[in-house]
Amino acid sequence: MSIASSDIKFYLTSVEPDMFQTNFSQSLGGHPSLSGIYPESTLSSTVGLYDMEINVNSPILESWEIWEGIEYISIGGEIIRVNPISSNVITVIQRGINSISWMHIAGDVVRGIFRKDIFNNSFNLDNKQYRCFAVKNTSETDTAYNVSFYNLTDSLNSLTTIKTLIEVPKFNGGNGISTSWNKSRLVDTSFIGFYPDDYFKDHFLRVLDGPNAGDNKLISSFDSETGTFIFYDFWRVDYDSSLYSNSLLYFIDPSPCQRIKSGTISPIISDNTENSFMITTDSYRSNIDINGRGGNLLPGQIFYIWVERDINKKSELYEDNSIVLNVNFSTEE
Amino acid sequence: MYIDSLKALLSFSSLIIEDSVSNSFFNVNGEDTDVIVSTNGYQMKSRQYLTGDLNIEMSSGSSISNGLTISFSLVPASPGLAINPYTGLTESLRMPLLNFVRTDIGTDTPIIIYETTGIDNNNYLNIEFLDETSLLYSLFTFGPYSPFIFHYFWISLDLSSGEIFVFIDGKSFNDLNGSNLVPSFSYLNAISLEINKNTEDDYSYYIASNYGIIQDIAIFNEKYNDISFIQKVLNYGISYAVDEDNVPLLDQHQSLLFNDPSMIKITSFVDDMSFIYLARSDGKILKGSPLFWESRRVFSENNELNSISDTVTIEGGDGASIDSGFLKINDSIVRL
Repeated sequence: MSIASSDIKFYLTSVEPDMFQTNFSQSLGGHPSLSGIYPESTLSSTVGLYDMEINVNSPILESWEIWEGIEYISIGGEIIRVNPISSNVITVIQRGINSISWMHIAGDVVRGIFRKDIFNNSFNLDNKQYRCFAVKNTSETDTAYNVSFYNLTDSLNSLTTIKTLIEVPKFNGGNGISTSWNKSRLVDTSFIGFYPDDYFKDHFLRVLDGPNAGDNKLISSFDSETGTFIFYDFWRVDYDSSLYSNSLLYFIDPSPCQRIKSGTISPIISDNTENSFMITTDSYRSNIDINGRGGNLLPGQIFYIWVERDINKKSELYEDNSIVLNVNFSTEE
Repeated sequence: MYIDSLKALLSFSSLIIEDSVSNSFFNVNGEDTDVIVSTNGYQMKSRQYLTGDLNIEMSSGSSISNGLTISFSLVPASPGLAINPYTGLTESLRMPLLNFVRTDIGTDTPIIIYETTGIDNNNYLNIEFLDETSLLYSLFTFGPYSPFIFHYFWISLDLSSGEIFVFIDGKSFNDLNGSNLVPSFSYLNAISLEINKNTEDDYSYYIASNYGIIQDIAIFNEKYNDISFIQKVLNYGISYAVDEDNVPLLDQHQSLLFNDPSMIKITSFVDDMSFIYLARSDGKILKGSPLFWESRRVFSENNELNSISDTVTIEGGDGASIDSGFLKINDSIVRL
């Protein structure tokens, strides 16, 4: 089986891992949050080019309640204005408000655009602001090959420029088995010498088996000489040689990206980012293969997209502006 | 590189009409030789039709024996209905689209695709199949669809089961004539394609040339009713979908919808006692009457009534009063 389009998901970012991000304007880098950008469902039948009725399955994570009051949905690259949603049948007011009218098939992801404040009205002196999203391969088995990113559509407001910058995690996640552990630390001697001290500081470590299975902690420091991870707080259960094995299966999440203090501050260009913000198109794409990290996204791996919104000082009020971000990948190596 | 099953692709972009798979050229026939081609496609018209040989093996035992797929986009015309001169009743008008002609034995047309108009002001797609002896084997009708707007037609034949699958704008349509079957076409050897050529020997009251715009005629020697492939063709274009390199590619989109605020600010203000001037950050200067601004003031002091009386004339009413900060004119005509 090969990877499906719906395996690739966009998430808001948050200051800590494993938390929901309810404030769009705080999607400013750090860890991938548990929140998608918009609530999701899937189509239950094909939508032709001119269909004005859309059949959807029940929402994937949330109930229909969060869809109440939604005036717009997006399917693929198309944004559609709809009547208030109260059931699995959505009636359309206007197709393709972003000038894209496509056909859609059963299983395609439907997103309810329940808020339009992904950006707010706080700009820096150059009339710019920034947001950061995480893109994750949520498949447990399949790899997305040769991943690239570009804006399928540019800002509809010609006086607004949208540029993007790709940041890849310095460490893109991986499993390990401990050689010893206790309440405050975990040692994996296979890590000795491979990574510098504190390389994993502020990474999220998840324990997959043993008495603390399902728990996770932030790493406060890493000692390269001993392969020891120290955590900010204690594990729920301490090691007891009469009860537990020294060998625990664990997983270290991909590195967080840089986090900016305010949406008006530009992220810093580094070895993990592209060289500059760019206007991307189908023929001028960003590649996630930065500094030879590889262009494939393995199961569970992520990358980050920084978005710079630059509004010209002559721009007047423009309602229903939009952009469509696009991740393109191959099912074959 | 195109996928193997693609046997012909006519994407009209210049006056030279070429099948980009076989690189063979199509001929312009008829009295009118001026070809109209735009980015939307080939504008069909009367007294003109196109012909060209197709590089498709249709003989028995070849891959065509399993299936055949024909797709194209069309902006249909709507010339209305025909009037039967014998009965005076209105009837559907027939307009040609594509004919597949046997070139090994002359002019037999085993597959004829044409449009008809309907009393509902919509059009219908008709597909006739003739048998080995040139007799009508089956007629399928699909629709309705609206004229004057873009449509994409996808016709897929399963020659082993005799089934036909038709999608218009990505939606599956059922045959309006019932459950017919497609012939096996085992007798076909070589074929050519005709575009906008009437097949009737004589012109009749119910036959007209097609004035629609046709584009991206693609022919595959396989049955293709995989909806995800049709989706790729409709959304990304036939050229993208039939490119071998693009077959394994997928996309995941994320739309963002937002309002852009006005970035224009008032940067300076001048009152020269005759006019007020406002300078904006976008370089524009607004000029306005100070009296206009004065009229927007909040009326809060009762003693202002006297000055109001000096500046407004109240005819035949109860006069003016101040009500919650508004100047209230009671049943009066005001002359400023």
